[in-house]
Amino acid sequence: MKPERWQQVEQLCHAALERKESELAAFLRIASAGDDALLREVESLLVHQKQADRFIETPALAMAAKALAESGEESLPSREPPRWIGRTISHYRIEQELGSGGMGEVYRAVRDDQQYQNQVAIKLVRSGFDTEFIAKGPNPSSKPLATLPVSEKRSRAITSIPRAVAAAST
Amino acid sequence: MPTASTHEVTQLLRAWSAGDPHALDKLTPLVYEDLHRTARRYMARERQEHTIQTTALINEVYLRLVDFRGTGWQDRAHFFAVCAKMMRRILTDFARSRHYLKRGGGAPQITFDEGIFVSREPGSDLVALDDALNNLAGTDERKSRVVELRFFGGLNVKETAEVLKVSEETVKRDWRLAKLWLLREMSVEKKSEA
Repeated sequence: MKPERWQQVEQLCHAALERKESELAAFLRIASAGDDALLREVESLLVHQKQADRFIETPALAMAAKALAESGEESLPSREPPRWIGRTISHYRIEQELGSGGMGEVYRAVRDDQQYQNQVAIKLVRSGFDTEFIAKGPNPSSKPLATLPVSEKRSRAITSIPRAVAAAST
Repeated sequence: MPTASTHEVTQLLRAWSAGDPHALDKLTPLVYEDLHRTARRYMARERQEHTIQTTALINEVYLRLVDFRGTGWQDRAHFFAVCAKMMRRILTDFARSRHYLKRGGGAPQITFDEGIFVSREPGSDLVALDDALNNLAGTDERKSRVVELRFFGGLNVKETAEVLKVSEETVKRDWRLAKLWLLREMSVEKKSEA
């Protein structure tokens, strides 16, 4: 939408918000002066007015705090923040956590470079070494795909278990 | 348990706003830890007193995380803007991971308002809002910033006006219209998904 048009929509919306509900339809008809597209645009916004009164009025921080506080003792302190989901390690994009256990966590990832459509599993293993994250290639003995900076005391090695990719690469 | 050192967080925020993407990865656990601890205390108090001290909670989180007196941060407006952006990223990422994790035990639901948005998955509302906000920025950049500062940054009208260097009246009008726009955008998205 062009800025001038959007400004027109805005002005009419604000004017309409000042009106009583009973006179709104008549007001809009007159104010839009036969410009049906304008009328529809404004109406499509005003239809959400009731919802808008309560929508996002509580800051996200307070909502998150409430959710955190109610989430139970063990669900968050022990859980890593979601810094892996959506991230790319070498050419693998991590999409979902599949499971976790004493040894580490396993994520589903897909190739991000359009080379293959294959999904892989990436395992984050607790290494015990206070060094850096190491993302390894298709077989564990290959050279690292990427080296990531340490962001906390406990570091992990990342090893992929990409049976599908290993097969496709060979 | 990592303890957020105010100095450390301030340094990281500065690095992030200067374009270092890794700074956010380091910030996230620190901010979460602190938010979690503060939230528990406030919620315990809320159960006793039946009031939600939202403003006090937000102020405390900010004060503990960031050193206002730190050199280079005299520009309060800039600090608030960076904080709001950080909170948006952290909370949206968090909601997104909850969304992917699906029914992972005890996953907190972040929804705007019970009864209005019945999300299919926890956290999807916040993710949808984040997307809609990106779209709003394409139509009206300032309105998207008003929402970012007020909703994600927890700023009030006066503070938002200060950051954006506009009148309080403008902030109020932008806020009002932005909410309508976002609700429409999010309802369209929902329909097209269904």
